[in-house]
Amino acid sequence: MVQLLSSDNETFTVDKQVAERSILIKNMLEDVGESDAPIPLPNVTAKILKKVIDWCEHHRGDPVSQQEEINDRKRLTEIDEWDQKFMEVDQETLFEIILAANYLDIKPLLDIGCKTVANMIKGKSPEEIRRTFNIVNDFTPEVRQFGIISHCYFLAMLST
Amino acid sequence: MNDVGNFPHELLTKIFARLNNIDLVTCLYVNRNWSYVVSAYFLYRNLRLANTGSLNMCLDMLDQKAMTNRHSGQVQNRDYGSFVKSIDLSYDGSTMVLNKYSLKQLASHFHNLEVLKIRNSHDIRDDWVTEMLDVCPYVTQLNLSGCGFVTSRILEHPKYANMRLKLQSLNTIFCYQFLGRQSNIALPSLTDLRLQVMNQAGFEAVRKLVQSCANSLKSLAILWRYRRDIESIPISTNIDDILGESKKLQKLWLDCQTGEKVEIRQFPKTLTELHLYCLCSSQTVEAMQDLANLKRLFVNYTFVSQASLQSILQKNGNGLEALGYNEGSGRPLTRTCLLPCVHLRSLQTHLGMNLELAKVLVELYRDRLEHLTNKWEGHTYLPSAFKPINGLWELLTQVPWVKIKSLDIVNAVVTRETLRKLPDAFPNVEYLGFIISLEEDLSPEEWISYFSQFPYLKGIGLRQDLRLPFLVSDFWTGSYLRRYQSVYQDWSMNEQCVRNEVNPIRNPFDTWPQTMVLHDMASRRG
Repeated sequence: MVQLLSSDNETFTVDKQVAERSILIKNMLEDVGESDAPIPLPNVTAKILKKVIDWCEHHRGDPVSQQEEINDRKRLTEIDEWDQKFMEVDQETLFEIILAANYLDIKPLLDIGCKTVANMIKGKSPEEIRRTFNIVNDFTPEVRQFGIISHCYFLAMLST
Repeated sequence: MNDVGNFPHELLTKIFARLNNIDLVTCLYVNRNWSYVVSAYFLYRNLRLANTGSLNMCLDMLDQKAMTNRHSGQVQNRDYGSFVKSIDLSYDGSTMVLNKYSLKQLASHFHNLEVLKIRNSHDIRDDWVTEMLDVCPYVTQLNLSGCGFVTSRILEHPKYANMRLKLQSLNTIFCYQFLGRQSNIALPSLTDLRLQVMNQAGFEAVRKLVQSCANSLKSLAILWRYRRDIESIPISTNIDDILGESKKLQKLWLDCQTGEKVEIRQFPKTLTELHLYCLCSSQTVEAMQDLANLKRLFVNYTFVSQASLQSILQKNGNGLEALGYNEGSGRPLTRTCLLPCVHLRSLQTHLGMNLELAKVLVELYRDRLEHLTNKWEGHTYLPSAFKPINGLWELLTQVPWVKIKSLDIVNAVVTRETLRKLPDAFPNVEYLGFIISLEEDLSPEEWISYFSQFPYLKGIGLRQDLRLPFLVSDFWTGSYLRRYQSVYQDWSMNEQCVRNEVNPIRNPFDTWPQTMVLHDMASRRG
């Protein structure tokens, strides 16, 4: 068992196998060796840490660090049902989960988070995107005007 | 911190990587942070300047951008030209003709360039290239195929010593003068080399060049071309000499049209892909028996006997993923050759020789094959030869091929009846390549409604004289064409597009199999 300490000083006790889904924790454990002291995670709050642990518990059986097959069409946008439910949270929580997954280095979770956000962007106009995510339009007027003109040129120039 | 508008760049790139081009461009206008990420990591990374005038447009834009930023006082990190890592200036019939000055002006904007492609620019001279290289010191991949006047002098100057050390990829196919004389360049980091041999001196130069990168070279393509009127000494075709100590070689492409037989005693053990467009000596055929790691084999005009091919495939066919077979003599691939290849996913051959091969495919390979090319590479001047034998398409379209993702029909006469059956027979096709003649062409509208019957279609390659490409490549036509337009652009911007068939420059390795392209695209569009 491993103890994890969130930024707001809440301690969580989890299986070593579950905690090691996080490459950060795995490396820490390897560096520190056997120790009862809780591992401090100053960038993750208790609320988010609990979500992340839930996810790791559910996916404990998954093969670790599977080389993701890019050539599988489905994997790029499709999210399995449990994960989809898991990600049905308010935006702030969603972004915090993504940031936590990035910090803790849990690739599959980060992946699902990014997919979820990408799916929210798809098919929207810039204004709709700003409204969805509460983003402030911080362009200067000149740039804004130039943007509209160059929009079609960009499309023409895009290459894969 | 947890505002997605100001997410760290690293995370935004991961999110944006799952968007298609249209959504990406939208993200450009959301806020400055997103705009920066889209510009720096996606938009400007690979530039292709293909449409007439887009070269000037691009330069104007770069200048304007710089101006706008100067006015608003936001100069920081807005040097868009420096985002560009890869630029494609290839001539494809509609591009602006390059000149020394436009090249120099371009290069001055793109000083972080790593990949430079200037294919098919027949005017280009050595000093034009060197002037570009002078301002782009980080170039590691250079593609000059089809630039007929370029010579190896571009890399010989002592000031390029650093670039020579770092150059990873060099393509000078159809540069007739490259390495045409004694030359002593060493490129120790090269992983990918494609070039042409015109005379014995060139052969010697290639030998030295390959030896200099023996520790890194992974793919090698050599074309022998022989000017009978100029050269009287036959060029050596001894591959053992060239390969020497290359122990990492994975891909080998040999195209010899001098009439000589290619000689090789032993293929490198690491070889996974072999393309032959040449006559083979008995020794070479013997060596082919021992290709245990081979995954892709393409045999064209080798005049290897059926018996030898059978025994080669019996020994090595088990691991084979892709097989291409085209013999000028018109011999079809036989059932016994095909049977050992149990893991075959791609097949490129001419099916219209007899129905036996098609029957084997339908029976045994229907739920395995992902890529099928029916290609006739023989006497292209004989239209009657393209005519499929009666019943071929009836047989092939009887049952659906659910795994097929890319279907190419090259050099064939296709009836409307056949065309009508394809959507049902190949329901999951993502890429459709047609170099076909229709007895009666369809109108553009008919083509569009035809393609909409393939729900997963991402790319189309068509011969230029079919009517659609003109319409879809015209940027200003109606928005209902948007989907096909972007699809078509995606494919035409890849060198792998079937338009290569019209293009005299054939690009080794990239033309087949199309798997790589499909996956690349899939990872971008999502």
